[in-house]
Amino acid sequence: MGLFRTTLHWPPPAPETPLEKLTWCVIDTETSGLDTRRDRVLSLGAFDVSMAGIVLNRRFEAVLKIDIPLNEHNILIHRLTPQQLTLGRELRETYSRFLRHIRDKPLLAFHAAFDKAMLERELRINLNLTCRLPFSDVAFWLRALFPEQRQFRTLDDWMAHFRLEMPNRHQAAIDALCTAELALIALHQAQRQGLQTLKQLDETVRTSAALHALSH
Amino acid sequence: MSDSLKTLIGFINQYAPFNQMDDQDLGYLLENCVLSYFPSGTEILSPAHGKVEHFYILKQGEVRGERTALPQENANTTFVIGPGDCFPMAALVGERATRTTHITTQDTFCLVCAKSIFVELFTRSSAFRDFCLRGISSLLDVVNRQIQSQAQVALSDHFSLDTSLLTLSRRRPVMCSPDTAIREAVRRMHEQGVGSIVIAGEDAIPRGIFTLRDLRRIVADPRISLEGPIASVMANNPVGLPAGATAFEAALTMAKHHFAHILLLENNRCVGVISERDLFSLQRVNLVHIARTMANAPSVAALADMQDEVGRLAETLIAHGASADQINRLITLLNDYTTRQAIRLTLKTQHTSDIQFSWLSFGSAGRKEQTLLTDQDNGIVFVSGTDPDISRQRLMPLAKQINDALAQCGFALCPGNIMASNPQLCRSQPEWHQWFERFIDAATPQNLLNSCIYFDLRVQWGDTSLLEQTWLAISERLRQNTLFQRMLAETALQRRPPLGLFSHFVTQKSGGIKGIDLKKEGLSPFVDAARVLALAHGISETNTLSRLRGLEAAGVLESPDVNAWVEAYQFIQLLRLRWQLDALREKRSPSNLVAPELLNPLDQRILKEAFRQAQRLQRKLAWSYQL
Repeated sequence: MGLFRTTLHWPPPAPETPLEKLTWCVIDTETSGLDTRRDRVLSLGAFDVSMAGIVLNRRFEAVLKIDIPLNEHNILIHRLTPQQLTLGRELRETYSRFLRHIRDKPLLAFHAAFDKAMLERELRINLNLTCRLPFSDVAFWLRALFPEQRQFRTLDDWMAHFRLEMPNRHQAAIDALCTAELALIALHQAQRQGLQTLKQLDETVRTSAALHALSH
Repeated sequence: MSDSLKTLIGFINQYAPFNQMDDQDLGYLLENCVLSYFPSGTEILSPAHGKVEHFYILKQGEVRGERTALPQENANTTFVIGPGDCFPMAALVGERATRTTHITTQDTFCLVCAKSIFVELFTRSSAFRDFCLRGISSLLDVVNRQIQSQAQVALSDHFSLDTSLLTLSRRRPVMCSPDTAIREAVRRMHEQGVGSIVIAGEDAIPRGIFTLRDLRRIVADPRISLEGPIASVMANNPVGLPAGATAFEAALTMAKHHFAHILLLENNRCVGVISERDLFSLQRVNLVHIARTMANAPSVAALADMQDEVGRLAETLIAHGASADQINRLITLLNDYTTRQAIRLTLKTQHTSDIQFSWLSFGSAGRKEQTLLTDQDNGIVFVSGTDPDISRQRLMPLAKQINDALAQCGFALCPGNIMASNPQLCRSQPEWHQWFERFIDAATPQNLLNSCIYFDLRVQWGDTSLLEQTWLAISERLRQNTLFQRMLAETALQRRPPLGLFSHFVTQKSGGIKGIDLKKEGLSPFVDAARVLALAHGISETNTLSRLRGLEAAGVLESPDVNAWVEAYQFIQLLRLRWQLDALREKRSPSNLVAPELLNPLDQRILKEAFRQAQRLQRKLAWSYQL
């Protein structure tokens, strides 16, 4: 591990980039809990997605070698047992590979703030690296583009709404795939609504967030 | 294998054919897929998209397949498919455009892979292959679709040459009685917006037809009054076809007679009119135009210019799914036009009008099996006065000039000198008779070879009856002479289909290329066997397929056998045509030599099957003569 912390510059794509031209990396993590200061990432999943689709062989999935006590409720969700985790991949090497895989792509997750915080922390711990990961949030996209469904909160809500079926949920790679499917639906919906650039999409999301804040 | 891949395999594993495929193949498939999203109402595939490049597996949602039989008609839903279904198998196997428009009726996710992955799976997995070919009755049936591959046009396959004319003629014919005034008849045409009117008596049996072209002619003629009866200016005895005839037959008939309109008849009554435009707005194949231009070409050079059109036409026809037989017949028809016009043009410059002669064609032209790679095999039969040598002397320069004109039109001079300008092949009626008799009497190897060439004989220009008596007598002798037949059969068996042990292709080297000669090794077994059997059973046809059908009708061969042989022959012939067209397009000189490894796996399989059929036909022949 290097003695000095490195800062990684990772800008989001230019705002005028047409949505059709963008390839996103959709990420999901399974964690030991919801505390972004204390909990750890147990597994990683990522898929590349553009409006043309999800390229299945451009994916990343790994269970990490994390040796910490897990509570029973948490295990029931992601079904990663401590034994499985001891068979996981070595952290530093895995995060290096992960970083190479996602590097310089705009990132995407469902409830991205959480994954962003968790991953930035893990990169700091494991690679001694500081960066601001350029995440966008599929949950925000969906709320802005399908305003009539504002009661929806979770990935499951939206999956059920679009009748997306996927067994083995709550594995990082599978949830990333589900998120990627929702991202595809959102991107096509954006196009249908006449949004052409990243900037236009971001503005729609901001307006909708402001409205959302007002109504609560 | 990764979790996400396992999950996706778990999904497609619920459905056929994926439930019969092993995980390794499924993994290979999925690793090469893109999961794509098509919102409801998206047209995923349609005939206008051209040759299909992707294979789709529905993961979620619903896709409706629609076909339109005719542009004006409403689309018919032909299928609705859901999760686990895949498409478009037949178009992928046939390497063509789809015939069906695929539209999503719900928001839909599909796993999409490139055609190359589909082909790889098709070769790897027998379960997958069987599934894809199911519903396509036999492997050789795939062929016709397969060969349309070079379709450069965005195809709508319902524009098929096999479309029945009744479905093309969309409305009742406009008719009038023979005593109707011309002006009145034209008024009716004008009101109905049609280009032709059928003239029929009270019995509804058509007497004539009057078209806009006729109108132009009579308006230009000051002697004709528009108040006169239509019967005085109509074309009598209009050409008709039964309503069940196909677009191909109509095109052929129009090209033959240079008519732009054909009546559709049911019980001698006119139920419709098909115009050239009906056909060719449909096919973009301007056969009639080409034929007419050829038949009226003012010079040999103009005639030669037309020959490129023949290649283009063949290409379009293949793209439209024409069979090898149809293409052979069309090329032969157009070559006949070229030959006849070349003869007519030459006759204008030569004065031999006192000698009556006919132009003969042998070999593939004689069998009406011409492809684009054609050299001249021709001769002359003449009616001689006292000394045939004098007539021959006078015909020689004419024959030479015709041979040269044909060479200018792209029919290569025959390296074996089987041409009318060879005095040996410019003979009087009795001379031909004697020569043919000698083939049979002295069955030398050369004479047996000659029989194979000259007994595939046809009068291409001139009086067809000049050799009729001779041929009747010769064929009767052939029918009775089993010894000669046996020797012909022996000759026919010398050229074996190029299949070795374990059904590997046996290639030969020629011109630096290792390959299979589709003509000599592929087609000859069929052509030669059909000839011997046809001559032996007094079947007068020269065309190989007609000979096989004739033998079937005469009870010599069994129908299932004949069907298989016809299909096999057509496949090889079509492959050869496609090969020649490729060469022409790439400005190489066309050849019959094909390197099998350049064929796709499916073509290779079918070609092997076709050669196996050739072996079966040869076994049948050997058995018939106990060879």
